[in-house]
Amino acid sequence: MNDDVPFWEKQYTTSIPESQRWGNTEDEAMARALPDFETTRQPGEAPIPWFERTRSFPNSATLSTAARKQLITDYMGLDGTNVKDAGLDFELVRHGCGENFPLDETGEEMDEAPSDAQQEQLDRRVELFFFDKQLGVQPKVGDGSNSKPSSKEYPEWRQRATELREISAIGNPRDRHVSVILLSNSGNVPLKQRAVTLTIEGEPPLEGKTDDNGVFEQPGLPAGDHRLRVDGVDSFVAATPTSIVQRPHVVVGHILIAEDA
Amino acid sequence: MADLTFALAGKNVVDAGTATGSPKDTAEIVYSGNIAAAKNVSVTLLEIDPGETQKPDKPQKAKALATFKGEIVAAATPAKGQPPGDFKLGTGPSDTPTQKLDPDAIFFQLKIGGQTFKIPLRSLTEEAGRRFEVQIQASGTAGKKKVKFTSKALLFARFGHFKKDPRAPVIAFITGGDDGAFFEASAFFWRQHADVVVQKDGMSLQEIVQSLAARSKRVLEETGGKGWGEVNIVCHGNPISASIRILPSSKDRNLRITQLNKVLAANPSAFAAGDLGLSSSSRVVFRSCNVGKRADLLQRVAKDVFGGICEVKAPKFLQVYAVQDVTKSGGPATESFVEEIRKHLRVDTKPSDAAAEAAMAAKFKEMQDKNAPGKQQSFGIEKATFTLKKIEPATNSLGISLAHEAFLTVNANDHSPITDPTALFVEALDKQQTTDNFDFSGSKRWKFGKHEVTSRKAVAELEVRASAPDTRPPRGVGNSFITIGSSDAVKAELIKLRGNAAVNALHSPAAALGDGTIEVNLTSKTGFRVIGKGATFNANGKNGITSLTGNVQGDATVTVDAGTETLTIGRSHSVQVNVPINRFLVSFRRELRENDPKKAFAKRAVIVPDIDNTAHYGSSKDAAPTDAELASLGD
Repeated sequence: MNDDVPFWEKQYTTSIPESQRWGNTEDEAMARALPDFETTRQPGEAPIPWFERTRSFPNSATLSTAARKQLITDYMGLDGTNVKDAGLDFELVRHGCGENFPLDETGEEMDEAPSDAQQEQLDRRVELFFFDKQLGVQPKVGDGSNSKPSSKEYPEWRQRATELREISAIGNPRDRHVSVILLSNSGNVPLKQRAVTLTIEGEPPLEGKTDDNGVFEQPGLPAGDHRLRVDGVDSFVAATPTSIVQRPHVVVGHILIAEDA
Repeated sequence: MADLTFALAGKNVVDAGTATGSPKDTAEIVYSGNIAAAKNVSVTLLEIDPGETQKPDKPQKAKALATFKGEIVAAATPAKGQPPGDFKLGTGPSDTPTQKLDPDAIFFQLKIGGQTFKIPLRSLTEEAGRRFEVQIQASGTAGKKKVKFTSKALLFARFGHFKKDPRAPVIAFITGGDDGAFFEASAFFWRQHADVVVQKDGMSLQEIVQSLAARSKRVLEETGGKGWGEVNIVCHGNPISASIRILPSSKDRNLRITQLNKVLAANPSAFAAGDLGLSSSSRVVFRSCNVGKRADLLQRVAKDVFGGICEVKAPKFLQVYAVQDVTKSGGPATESFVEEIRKHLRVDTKPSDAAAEAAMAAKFKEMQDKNAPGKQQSFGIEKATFTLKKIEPATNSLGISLAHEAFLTVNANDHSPITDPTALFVEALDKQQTTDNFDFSGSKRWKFGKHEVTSRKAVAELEVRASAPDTRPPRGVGNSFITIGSSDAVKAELIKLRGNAAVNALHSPAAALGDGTIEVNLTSKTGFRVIGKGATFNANGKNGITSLTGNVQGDATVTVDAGTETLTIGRSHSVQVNVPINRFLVSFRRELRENDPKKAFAKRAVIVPDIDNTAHYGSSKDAAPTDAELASLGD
């Protein structure tokens, strides 16, 4: 939150035990999270080469020190906030809860009667709670230690909190559709009789074809933006309510007739 | 899982415009999530690449263009395939954008919550001609939870000549050149706007025609027979010519009428490549500086290169392409114009800065008086805004083919140049003033340099000429012998022997002489002398007439004094002379912006190229320039 780049650069150094040391896995995760990754990535391009290309760093197997510094800076800039720059004054307190508060099947609420020996990825989570500066943590854990089984403080924090959720654009029910007229890069030519691949995140690709007017339609989709590929060019297209039909969708970057045509 | 998804419901690429040129498209965003009700819903449009052209080394964060506030209201009976609620705009003073648009601001139209708004984009000053990438962010409160959505699908708003879209495919040929940045930037620009981009350094017009022919079948298939909407040719140019090869074998990149004439004279079918995939609704556009000022050249290209099928256009300004960073694979590219004050000075040494500025001041006033009556700008105020200044030599050479007598002293035998041949050069240059050979510039616009004879060739005929200052044509011409007499155009009595004795008769019987032999018959044996090297002459009396016979060898010249005249007998010579012609071009340039002397230059809106604006683009459909207009192009 302080955008303290040097601190995070240290996580890659030998001062950190090897088992905990950061490396390519963390680099790739940060690169994938950047907003221009999906929009400027070339087909099949891995996160590290993509980052080096788009930031004009030399291509290499692992990021250089300068490139990694840039990556950390970009990644930290994602939240749009630097508490120092913003003049925010708060104390950061770490608080552990162990395995004492698993979530229920919805992943939204706490499990009132959790069974033992469960392994659920959703339970491995980090939550940030912001408390009023003057009042401090309410209620406060009496001895200042971590939360113990059945302790009341953490559940109360959740109860009192107003939660911000960021949700990827995948929703239910699956009653939206994509109904578009695919157009060339200039927006002037319908792409007729083209093979189309539509990919909903986490699902196998759907294959289809445009008609003689460049129309492509795929029903039964979750709301959100889905990846559409035609003639080797990717773009994102929104699934819309079914009342919206055959809206024009320019495939930005499409090449209508290759040079060797 | 609850989501607050919003979706593009209309086109994902819309035209942007200004108050004076409203866009015809309207983007639309609708609620598409599965939350039935949410409070404090805020929908923000983010331009995700703001200012990249301004600070290429320091990319900036996304910039909010507009925010709409309202709520998701549960639908009474949501139909299948519809979200369970609708986005309703709030009615408070800050719930919808209230920003007043500057008259010159660029904007696009957006429909949301049942209302249509004008969404201002960044100023033209910063982002002329580019394609804006807009992302949707939404947030709200559903029950106790805050939810947020960020779109992956982008809305593209673009501004520029595509305001008047050809509604058919677009192809661009990038012909390369010594200015790599211009062509690389143009390639980026056209990859963002065209359906096909062909990039080849040195590509000729003939290759472009052949390339179109090769693609014609496919483009006709793709368009149901409509063909190309716009064929763009990116090359350098000037008010006289386009810097593109006519043929692949052309030595220079020099498309002008005189050169086109030469090519077509040698190869009338140079551009007969078959169907080019063009129709009468197509347009060919040279993206090159100032070529639009030559409607006559555009007419010839339309007719002779593209078969008269469609219109050919070109800018009337300096053409500029720029890109954030050509080493990167993407990023916004811009197309814009540059305003130029331009004047050639008839000097052969570099003018002083003061002289150059004085010339610019005079030219600027002339331009303002002509183009902006009532809104004239002052050069004294404006000159600081012309940040690109050039003073550079503009050289050319004049090749002249002259006959012997025009260039050499007639009574000498050494072919020495006459003392001052300038009058001959002036005459030769002025004869070409109505062609683009020398930029429509006559002798008054060039400074002649020191000439040189590049070749001299004897021709077969023998000639007899009188001495200077007699400027009449040769007295006699023949392959092997010459007769000067009363039957010639020049009366025999005009030739006087020494002592003013008239020549009664001069003749040379052909049968008596061999090849290359001259016989001059004189009435008196005296009164003449022979000057000649390598030639033997004999004077003989024959029937009371003195004859002079000898063999003129090669291109030797023999001079005969006859009375008061000096006659020169020799072979004609064709002499090729090359004369360097020089001047200096002074050019002051600045970005083309609206003409408003009341505003500071930085506050004036940048002019975006508009293909249908006749002040921006010349056309093959325009009237050809007058001789006076053509002459002014070479100023």
